Amino acid sequence: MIPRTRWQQIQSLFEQMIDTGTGERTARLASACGDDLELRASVESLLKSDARREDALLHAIGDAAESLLEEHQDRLIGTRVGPYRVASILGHGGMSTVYRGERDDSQYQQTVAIKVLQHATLHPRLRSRLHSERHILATLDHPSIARLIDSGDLEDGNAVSGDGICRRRVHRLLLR
Amino acid sequence: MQVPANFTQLLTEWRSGHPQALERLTPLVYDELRRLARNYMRAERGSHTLQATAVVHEAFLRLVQANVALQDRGHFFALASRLMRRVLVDHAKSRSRMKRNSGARDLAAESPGETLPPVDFDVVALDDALEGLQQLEPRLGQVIELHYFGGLTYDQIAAAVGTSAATVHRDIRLARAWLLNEIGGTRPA
Repeated sequence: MIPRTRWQQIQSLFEQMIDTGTGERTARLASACGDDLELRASVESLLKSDARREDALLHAIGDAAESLLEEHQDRLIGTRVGPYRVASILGHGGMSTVYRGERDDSQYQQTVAIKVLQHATLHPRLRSRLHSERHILATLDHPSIARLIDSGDLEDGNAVSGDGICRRRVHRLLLR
Repeated sequence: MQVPANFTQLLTEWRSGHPQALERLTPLVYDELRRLARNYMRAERGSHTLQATAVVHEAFLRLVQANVALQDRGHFFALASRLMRRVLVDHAKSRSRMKRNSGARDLAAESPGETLPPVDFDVVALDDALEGLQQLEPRLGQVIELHYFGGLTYDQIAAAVGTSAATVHRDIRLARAWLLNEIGGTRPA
């Protein structure tokens, strides 16, 4: 731990220096520190970090927040959606996550893509956009376009927490 | 989650020096933050930090009634920011434990010739350094918590801790520089 008086010196000099133009800093810091080179090095190293443009603190916090979200998305894995079991995440879009689903009712084997729109209740416009996408997909039949198999609402027990039912639009696309 | 009607009451009790109120407040705020985090955080690159801090604001709006005393708002933000920090750090820690257990490859170990740039660190390293800062200068630790984990503006922090926005700005610059040096291994003095 830095001794109290030393810390106060560092703090006070740092504050003086950030109010000083960068051109004058070196000379002012040198005269303020005299032959206390350790003090000068401490303040200089703080000023150097202060001059960094990108905010590494925000990045660290943002990465953790993003990871927290992904963990939540992982919760669907292993659960059943209709006759399918969610096997893995295939990818994330801006508004939705696409999972790989495997038919899980001993009828036959089938692999599907399951697209889950997040936060449909919070974003009514997203929901209507998915509606139109569904309508369009239902009319299309082309080898290069994933065919719509089914769609519906998913009731996610994890997201309910007694705050009403969080409905998510689900629609299932055949994985080609 | 139903917001308990006595939340503001608990907050006031806590502020008037009843530590047992904090014990009841903590799980309420923690649950609400987690619930909101699940509902609101989006995986869009670049915006997730804003989302994380928006969660704290949203929790505040939901939990605290509009007529709550201004001093209580300051205390709530302090509490919510601290809890947000805990939620994110706990998550990051459990995540790295999970990765170790599943035998996930350590990228740093794979490329011994390369060292990560010193500014690239995770929230756990930040948490450790922040702990050190709080011991050195509690005020600096608190403004960092309020700004980065609570998403408060300089003005809001100034109102919450009873100082000027200019002082908050200076404090944040010093604190951030100190943290970066500490994490990068070039500690001052």
